[in-house]
Amino acid sequence: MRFLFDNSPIPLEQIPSVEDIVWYPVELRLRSQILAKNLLHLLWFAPTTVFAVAVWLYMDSIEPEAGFQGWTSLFQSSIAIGVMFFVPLLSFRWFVVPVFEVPKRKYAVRHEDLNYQRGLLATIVSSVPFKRIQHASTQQYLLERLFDLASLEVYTAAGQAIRIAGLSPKIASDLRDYVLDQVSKFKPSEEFEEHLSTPDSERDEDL
Amino acid sequence: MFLKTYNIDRWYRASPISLVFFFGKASRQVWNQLKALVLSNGALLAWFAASENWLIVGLIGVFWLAVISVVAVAKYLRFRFKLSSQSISIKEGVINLKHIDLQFDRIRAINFERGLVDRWFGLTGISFDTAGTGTAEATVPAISFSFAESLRDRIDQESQFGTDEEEATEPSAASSSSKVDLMNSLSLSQITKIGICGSEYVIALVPLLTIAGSLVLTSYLNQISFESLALIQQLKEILLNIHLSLAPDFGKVGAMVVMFISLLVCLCLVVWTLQVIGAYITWKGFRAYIENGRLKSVAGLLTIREVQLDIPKIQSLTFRQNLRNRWFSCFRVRAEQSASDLEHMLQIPFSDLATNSMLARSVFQDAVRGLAFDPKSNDFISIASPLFWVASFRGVAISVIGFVVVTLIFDVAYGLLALAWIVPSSTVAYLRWRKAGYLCNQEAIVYRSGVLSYVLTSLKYSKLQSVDIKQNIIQRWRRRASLVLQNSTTQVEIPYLRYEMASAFRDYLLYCVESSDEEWR
Repeated sequence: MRFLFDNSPIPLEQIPSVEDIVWYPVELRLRSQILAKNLLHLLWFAPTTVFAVAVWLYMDSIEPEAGFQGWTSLFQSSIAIGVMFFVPLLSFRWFVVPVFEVPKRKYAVRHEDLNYQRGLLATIVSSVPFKRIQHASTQQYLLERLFDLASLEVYTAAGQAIRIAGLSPKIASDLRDYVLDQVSKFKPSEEFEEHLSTPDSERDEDL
Repeated sequence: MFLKTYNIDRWYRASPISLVFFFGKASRQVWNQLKALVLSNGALLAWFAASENWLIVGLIGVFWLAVISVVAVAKYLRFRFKLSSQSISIKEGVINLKHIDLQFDRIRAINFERGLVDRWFGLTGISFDTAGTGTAEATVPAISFSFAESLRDRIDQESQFGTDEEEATEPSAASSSSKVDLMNSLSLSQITKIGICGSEYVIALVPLLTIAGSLVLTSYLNQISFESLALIQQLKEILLNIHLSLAPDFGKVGAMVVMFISLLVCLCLVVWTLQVIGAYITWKGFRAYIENGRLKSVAGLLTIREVQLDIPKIQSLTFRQNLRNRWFSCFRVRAEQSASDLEHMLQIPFSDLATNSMLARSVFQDAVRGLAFDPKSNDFISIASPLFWVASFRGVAISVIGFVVVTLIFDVAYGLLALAWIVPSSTVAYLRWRKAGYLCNQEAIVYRSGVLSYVLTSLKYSKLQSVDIKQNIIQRWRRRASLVLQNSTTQVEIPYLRYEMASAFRDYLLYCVESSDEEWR
């Protein structure tokens, strides 16, 4: 790569590297939580399945008299092909991938930024400088509470930058406080900070 | 005193002229709701039209017109605004009530929009943009023009106090009070070129074709013959006559081809004529200039739009050149300071290389020294070849799977058609790879992309919000990575860098953001 550095004053080798930092894994019980969540997701398919089966049976019953033969076989074969491809892919994505993917989720905090890496086959390492963080919050949805987990969400002006799921609630809240402490070092004014930490829905109060 | 016609801390209703604005707004809202319905239920409309139920079609039209009118009047009656010395408050909404309180120092852009009726009565619509939203946060329609100008001056003053620090870091942008003209006016030929280069009406043809397709399908399924539609029958007869008159000279197939090409040319001519007229209405009297550290533009024949952006707050510049733009050697430029919609970013519809460079230097100053804004520049660093062969291999894999499936279900002849997909997919992959490239210095980057067109995206490192490194399975195997630079308006992804390079670049970018005192805003 040719940089057009005309007079580089920065010794590049002395810039701290994200590669060298200590990464912390998320809680492994996140796997169970994700598997439980995906099992619940299966419920969404129940009405569709019932509907498809009902239509299938109905089409079979009207076929002889209404001359729907072409349509029936097209419908039934597309459902069959869909199920053949969809079920193994979905099962793999929902119930196999998380088992191996969760241990790869790691986060690291430095003085100036928050880093998060995830992904099994395709990996992503995100780095967000505290200077750019506008808002940080912790979430505990019902399933997360059942598994005693929490997640940390960090927002920049470009939207949600990082969502670290699978933290223990204490670590999540400590991390959030630390992030907000770091952010407050750079805040322009208290009033501005207050504005940013208030969600839009609250700002536009209903009359 | 900045208030010339309105008192402080008193709620005002908008002028009755604003009904035009509310009617337009309600129409857009209703249309947005209906659009999906129309596109997905084109068949239903086509069925009514095909069976000549014009009464029902007319009643539907009258019903929606009545809905829009009622919504517009209700919106007008519910709308109130109030000015205080530091903020503007707006109450609006019929079912969902909304109260917006906008502090002057948080306003990033103030845009004027003056329709024909507004200009007649000396009024203007004024909209305020903040960083947080995609669209204008608040719009006050039909207020007196002189008052709107004084309000803008007042808010400008406020933000000048707020940006003292920015001025200190970027002295040449904010303190330059002299006026620099980027573009003075557009000639008729330039506006014609803008119209020809545009693609708005081409996109508008899509719903038309959807409805036409639905019409054919519904007519077929309902066994309605085309003869029941007089218009279509006439069209069919005209086409048949043309075909018959051409057949002796060109033969049956030749006549068909000639007719198809002629139809296409006619359609293109109609579309382009519409676009040129549209461009004339939008861009007549276009001026872009830099004044008091602000980038400003004014344009419009009927509705005059004034857009102004604070230069230090501009996050990214994008230069686009589609195939027609390349033919005319011109660019379309966008300057964005927040994740705004098209209406609230500053656009220069016809720019040349000199204007591109001048604009980039005025906006990013020294940060872009040494960078080229000419997509054909040899300085651009190419992306590694896996970008081509991975995409190409993906195309081949999809084609082969398509070949097997289609051959099994239908016939080898159809299967070969699926296999032919390799040619366009590989061509696109090759063109995409040849076009991709980047150019960077210590403070900014220009990324070039496109297939037939060119898109140059430029941004400053100090405005970045986050940096990601992505690796898919092939990149991990080849020890490559994609570097993703994200700021508040755009994202640049440099694919297939060497992993060590991407990692070092990421560390440098973080260093730039973390060690700089410059505000991203």
